[in-house]
Amino acid sequence: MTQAFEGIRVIDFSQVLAGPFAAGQLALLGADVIKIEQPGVGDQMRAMMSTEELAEIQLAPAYLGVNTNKRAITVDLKSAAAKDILHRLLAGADVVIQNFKGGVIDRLGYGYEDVRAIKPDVIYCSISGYGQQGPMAGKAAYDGAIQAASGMMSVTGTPESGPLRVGYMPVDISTGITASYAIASALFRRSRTGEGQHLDVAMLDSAMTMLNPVISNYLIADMAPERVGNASPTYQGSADTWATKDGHVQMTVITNSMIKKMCTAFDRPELADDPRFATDQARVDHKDEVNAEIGAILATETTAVWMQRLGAAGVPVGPVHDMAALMDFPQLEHRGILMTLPAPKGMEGEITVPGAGFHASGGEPTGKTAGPVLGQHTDEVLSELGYDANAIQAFRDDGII
Amino acid sequence: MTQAFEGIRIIDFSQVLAGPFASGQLAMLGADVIKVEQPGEGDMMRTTMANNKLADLKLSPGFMGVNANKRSITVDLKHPKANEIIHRLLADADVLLENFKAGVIGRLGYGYDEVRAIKPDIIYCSVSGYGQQGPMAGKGAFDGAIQAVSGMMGITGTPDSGPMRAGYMPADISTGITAAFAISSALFRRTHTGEGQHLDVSMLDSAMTIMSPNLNKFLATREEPELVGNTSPTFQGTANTWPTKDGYMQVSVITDKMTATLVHALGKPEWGDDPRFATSQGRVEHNDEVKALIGEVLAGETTAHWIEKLGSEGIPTAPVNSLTQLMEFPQLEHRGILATVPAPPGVEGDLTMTTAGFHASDGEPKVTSAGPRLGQHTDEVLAELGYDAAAIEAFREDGVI
Repeated sequence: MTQAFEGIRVIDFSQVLAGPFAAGQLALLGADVIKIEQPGVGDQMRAMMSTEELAEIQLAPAYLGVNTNKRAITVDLKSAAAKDILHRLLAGADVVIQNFKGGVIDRLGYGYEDVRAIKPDVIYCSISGYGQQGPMAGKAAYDGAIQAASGMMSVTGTPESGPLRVGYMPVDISTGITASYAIASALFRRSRTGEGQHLDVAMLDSAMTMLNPVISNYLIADMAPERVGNASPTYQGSADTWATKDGHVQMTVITNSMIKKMCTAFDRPELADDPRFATDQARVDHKDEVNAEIGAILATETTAVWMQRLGAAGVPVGPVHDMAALMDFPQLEHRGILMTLPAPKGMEGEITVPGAGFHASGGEPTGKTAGPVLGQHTDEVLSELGYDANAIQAFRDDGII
Repeated sequence: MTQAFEGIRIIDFSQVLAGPFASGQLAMLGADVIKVEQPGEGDMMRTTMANNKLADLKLSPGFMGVNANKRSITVDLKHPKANEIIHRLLADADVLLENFKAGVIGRLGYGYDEVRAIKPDIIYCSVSGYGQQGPMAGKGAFDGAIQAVSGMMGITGTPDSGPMRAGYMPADISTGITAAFAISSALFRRTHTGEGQHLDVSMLDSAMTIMSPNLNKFLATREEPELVGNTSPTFQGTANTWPTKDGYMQVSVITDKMTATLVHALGKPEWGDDPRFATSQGRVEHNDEVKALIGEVLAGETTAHWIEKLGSEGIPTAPVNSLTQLMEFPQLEHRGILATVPAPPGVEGDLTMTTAGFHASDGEPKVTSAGPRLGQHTDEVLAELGYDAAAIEAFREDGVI
């Protein structure tokens, strides 16, 4: 079945996580993504968060996780001869993605206006920490800095722990999804208007959209969040994480009808009529007591028992998984979220990586090839652009590719 | 300028956060989103996380934050007469969005196959906790359960705190952005295939895409990540959060080059040759010592001092902002992330909310109206569907709307 982005060519100058994730989502839906990397060095992510062995061959797991289905070519963008190669590439580009610091790509000669002169309807997506304008434009920002600046850290943790970051990269990846959405919207718009455009995607903005309910409370009702640890942002005592006999479960019981279901599953139906449990407001006002009462009950059985009983009653409950338990979670077999692919050159066997966050009945997101080794497709792409073997060899001898 | 989704009609049966966020993103790009709600009750989010006054109006901040630019109509889907209204609505729909528990919408008569019989090229997006198939299909899941199940909590916190959730809703909102991307891709696909499709978006999948780097490292090494608090997932001692004289700041230095810059900016050039600092491996192996040495220096000055000093050297650093400090962050003026619009009927003055995570040079995402009151547009939409005033009144008397 035809995928959404078959025939769409994406020229991807971006590195690390947000940009490559965005291009990777489009690649899972059929786009031809050509990843442009600096000869020798390549995407910074190739050697980060890695085992030594995989860093050595520039194929870190985190790199492989977001670069499925792409082709990789090396071009030294600072060389004069690169211009000709890039012109040919950009002439056929539908989308350009870049995450250089503010101004760098303009100095290289591939800013929006430059590219538009080559391809008038290009969709040009700039990804950055703080956006293309303003006092912070051009400032470097990894995920951690934006978790800090956006307020994410200030609302996570407990009074004792102080502000806490989460152990994953919510900013980088949400920025990546936001960019995929922005690009898909712009492609749809182009199909109706014939026009391209410049998209300015900032990690700070994406982090703030992710904080949505919390920020809305603050802006609309002056409700300043406290650091409540594992308690829910609704502040109801019936939504939290509790220890069981052998682990932890998380429950979010925040409506009166769910309270009834929970109390029935506890075999304590009378608790639902307890005035501390009966309304949203009561569960906020008597948060600690409600919480302790539930905790005492949950401590008496194992996680598996509660998952069964509460789950069957329709109560939103989840076991707190570590990574190994997640991989054993039976539900994963029924999702397409993990894809197993032949390992790239230089690695043996197969690798497993997460794919797209959805299934499609037509043109399903599909992983075909693992993240490429540095420059794996340089010769292939250059010959598609009309360079013969001699020309390619000359580029190589000159250190351009 | 033409926005991407002008003229696109979305019939939105979803409630709470993920679904409404998704349709809200399309609404900001011009889609006509008709929110179909149960008479009397409406979207559960209207009264969740609200103060009493806004809960009474069924306009909680969390609701208003994700329902801008939409029209709200009330229809009792279980009423026998609702069928003809919904038929007329769906006949012109481009997109249907729903997050009922698996199977419910099929029983109501609006499953994918039924809707396709009315509108053959419909893009039908189902949003759920665990997906439409498998042992967990149809189980209730709020954000907290998915933070637990996906392993997000298992890698957040310190050994003292145990597994910790984020104080915001990363699973809900990332699912919303994923759904917005899935829908916009499907709309684009429809332009060249003429086909609609069923999209199956799950919170578990979206949470796992957010965890991509961690998950990939685990899949490659099978080593459980430790609870490392504010240490970066790269485990380098130069990437962490430290107290300053008057607050906290975050620094993500993870390359050798940046480390050299950092130690100079800290006034400790001699650390540049220290093997604990010089290589990525050294910074990982001596994480605690490196962290402590940097902490001693940072504690001596204010956050503002260090942000200026390190930031001007190009070091990725940020203050740990509270939401109040975030609103004063000068960079926000240069982004479109916050929009101020007149409050909905019943609330005085203006309200400010977060918008889309990107700027577009043409057809910019825009907030034109705040989240609607329950049923605010029932009469208007029914009139557009061809019902006259008498027919609308009859529906109202029968309790259909």
